[in-house]
This record gives sequence, structure tokens and C-alpha cells, in this order.
Amino acid sequence: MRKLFIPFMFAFLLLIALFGALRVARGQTLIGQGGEIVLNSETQDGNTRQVTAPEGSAPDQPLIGFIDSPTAACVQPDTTKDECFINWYYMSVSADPNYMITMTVTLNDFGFVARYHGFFQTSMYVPYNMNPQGYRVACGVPGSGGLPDWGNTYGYTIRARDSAGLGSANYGTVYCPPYTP
Amino acid sequence: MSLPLRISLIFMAILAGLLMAWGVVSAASGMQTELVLSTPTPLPDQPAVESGSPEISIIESPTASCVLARANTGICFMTWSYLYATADPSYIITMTVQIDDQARARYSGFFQTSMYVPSEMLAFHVDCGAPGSGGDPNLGMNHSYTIRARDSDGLGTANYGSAICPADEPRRIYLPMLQK
Repeated sequence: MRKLFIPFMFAFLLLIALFGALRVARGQTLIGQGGEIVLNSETQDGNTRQVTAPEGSAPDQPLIGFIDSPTAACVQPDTTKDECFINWYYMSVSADPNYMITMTVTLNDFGFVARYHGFFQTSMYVPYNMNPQGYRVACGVPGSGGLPDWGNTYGYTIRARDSAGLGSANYGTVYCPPYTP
Repeated sequence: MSLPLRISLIFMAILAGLLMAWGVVSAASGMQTELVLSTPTPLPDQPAVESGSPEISIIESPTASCVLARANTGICFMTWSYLYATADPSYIITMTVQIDDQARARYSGFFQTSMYVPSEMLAFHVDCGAPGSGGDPNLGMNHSYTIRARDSDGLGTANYGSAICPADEPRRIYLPMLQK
């Protein structure tokens, strides 16, 4: 019995150390909104962009980039209608040398509003005029989105996924002009 | 194996275990701190803005136009060739368009140091107005506009102007008065 005590003691201590190390390793990773591992993340003025990988297959150097989606617009063409249009100057992402599989646009209040499919392409570019006017939404009365001089606010998510299973996502908000009946 | 040797081995094992556990705990606390500090990634250092030399530019808004697309509707379109502002190395946060003191569009920056809005993203219905309503007897209403931009340093820039529209009014249809 005494002979077994020392190996048991070693094994016990090693198990504790291993358990601690596993917890630390797990603590280093951020988990994204879809349950993936976040490889790169930036936040600025309420906007966030992330690059993610499925759990268990995170590469050291992700090949997919951040999605470039400048100038999120909410425009009210006609003041007599409670009708605004959301659009982006363009959306662009590259996963070279992997292929781009999809890019999707979600208005959080409505769900998917666009899905763009790659076709043996390593990058994807969607200009504003692929949605001639943009996505139609209600402008809302002044203050309805939280800002007194503006109408509704809409959260959006733009996601892209490449052939290696890596993902990239932009999370932002657009503020619409108010509709005053 | 002698008893002192066994005891010393047990002590060594305990000591090694404690050292490992201490290392793990300190590493964990260090990594947690680093994680909190590094997520989200902080913005790159930006030079201090001195008064008199702001980083944000004047907004370019050439060719303010008011166009009558269809006669006898009374509706004109106001647009510009493009709008452009830069705040490099700061980020552009918003650009807004107001026509006749009414907010008509808000463009939100997304990790961008400049903002370009093409004319296709700038189409606003306005009333054309009756001839002379804007002061010129041959033209219609005069619409004032304000374009503002703001950057991540809190600096702002604005353009104030006006555009006179062609005169046009909705066609009136006169129905004959029928007597019973």
C-alpha cells in the first residue's frame, strides 16, 4: 500500500495541474455569437467586426479578412412616406487562397435580407447598386430609436464564410431620419 | 526504499504540485488581464489635434442639383455628384444630410477614415414649387441644405447651401360639373 502512495500522489497532483492548464487554455478563447472561436475582434463606437473559426479547427493565421462595409446609409427619399432605405456603399471580403462561399446581410429586426453566393472566387465584392435602392424599412417617428432628432435604429449583421470554414462578421447600427406625419 | 527517502519524495511531490498549481494560477490571472485589455483591440494611437489644424476635412459636395424627372408631378429630386469627407487617421463616424431643416439621410462609418457617398445613394424628393416661389420668376422653390460630418475625435465639419428647383406643379384635372 505504501509503495502505491507515491505514484498515486504524483498522479493526483498532475491531474490537478492538467485540469488548471485546460481551464486556462479554454479561458484564452472568446466565443462568438454563433458559438465559434473568435480569432480577431475590433470594436469602435458601437460597431464590431470579428473573424471566427469553428470550435476545434482554429488556424494560427486566419486567411479570411474583416468584411469591408463602409458607409451604412439610411435614406428617406420622400418625406410624405414612412419609408426609409438602408444600404451600404459596398461590402467586400477576401479569403484568398480559399474560396468565398457566402456572404449574408441580416437586419436584426427582420432576419436575412440578402445572401450572396461565391462561385469559385477567392473574394467577394457587392456594390451599392446591386440593391438598387436598398432595403426598405420604416423610418419611425422622432425619438423612436433613442436619439431625439432621429427615427428608428436598426442593428445589422453582415457575415461571410469561406471554404475553410472560417467566418467573418460585422455588427453595426444604422440610424434613420424620422418620419413626421 | 528507506523511510526518509520516501518522506523526502513525498515532500518533493507536494512541492512540485504546489509549484505547478501556483504557476497555472498566476498564468491564468495574467492571461485574463491581457485578455480583458486586448479585447476589443484598442484603436491605433492618433495624434493629438491641435486647435487650428483639425484632421477632418471640408466636405466635398459638388454639383448640388434639383432635377424635374417627370413634368406635371410637382416632384423634383435633389442630389449631388457625390459627398466626400476624410478624417485620416481618425475614423469618420457619421455624415448627415438635412434639407429644409429636415433630416433626410444618415451615413454611418464603419472603421473607415474617409467617407464617399455616390449620387445614387443621394436622391431626395422635394417640392418643385410654383414659378417664382423661390424668388426667380422662371424657377421654383429654393431648398436649403446642410451636410454635416463628424469624426472619432469629436471634430465636425458642415456645408451649408441651397438649390433652386425648376418650377412644376401637379397637373390639376378639372371635372365637368354635372347637374342632376
